[in-house]
Amino acid sequence: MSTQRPTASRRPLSRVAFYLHLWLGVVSTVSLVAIAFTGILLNHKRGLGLMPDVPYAPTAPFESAIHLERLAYAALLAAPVEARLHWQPNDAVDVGLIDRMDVRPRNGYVKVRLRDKASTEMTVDITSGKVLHIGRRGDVFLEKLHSGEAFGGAFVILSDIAGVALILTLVTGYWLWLVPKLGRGTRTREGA
Amino acid sequence: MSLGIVAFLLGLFGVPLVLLGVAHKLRRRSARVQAGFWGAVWGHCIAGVIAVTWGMIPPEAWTDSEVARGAAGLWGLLTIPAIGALVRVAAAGGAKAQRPREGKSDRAATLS
Repeated sequence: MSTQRPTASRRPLSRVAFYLHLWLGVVSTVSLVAIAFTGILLNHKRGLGLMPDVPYAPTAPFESAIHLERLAYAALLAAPVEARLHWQPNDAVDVGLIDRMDVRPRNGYVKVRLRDKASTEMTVDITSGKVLHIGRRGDVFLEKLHSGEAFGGAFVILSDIAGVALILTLVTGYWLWLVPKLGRGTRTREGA
Repeated sequence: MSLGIVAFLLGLFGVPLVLLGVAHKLRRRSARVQAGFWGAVWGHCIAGVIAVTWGMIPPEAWTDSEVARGAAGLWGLLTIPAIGALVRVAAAGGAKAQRPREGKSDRAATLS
């Protein structure tokens, strides 16, 4: 009787664990595959050329940096036409086109990222206003896909669901693997 | 929420849930259901690969003008399994496969 009690109490739990493992595993497969792929690509974004890497050293002290508005203008002027949309040379800087300006004082440049579909980024020298590089930031879209944000701000819930499903699948997997062994060990000891 | 997103969510979560439901006691189901199930499973696997690959290559946001990409990324997970199921059902129907596949339960039914 005493040997049967723990096994009997574990059986319904194991059944729940099995069905949770199965259903959550199947339902979250595509989401988890997408999250895993985008995660791997993001880890190697420089090597895969998803992110422009501009090796550069400052040409003048930071104090001589030019105005942010001038840097933004230089970047918009150099941007491909399809990235700057309606903006024309000699127009005032349209901040609506700019996603962010990432200033790197130690490198002596600013990265101006646009809000177009390819997240085009211009690297501009902060002291001369010279455009050093124009490239696409593929990692921006991959990050959004990784988090689910690519489908809309509220869709980060997709990666949350996948994360919770992964944790539960792992826990139930361990349960299904170890609990039968635990029961067998108890029976063997009690039998001896 | 756009219709494309609804189709995407249905394909992402709805199709696997339906397949799991159908997979329950699959051997006892008719040959047509079994064929449809396997067609949908294959369809969903293929759709998943296409959606994940096309979704991130090129790594740029989707625009409304990219009809094929939107179809693969959003609608594919729902439509390709359905197409796969229909193809397999049609193929099974053509190959006089109205009989359920012989399994344990079928043998038991024959014996009784």
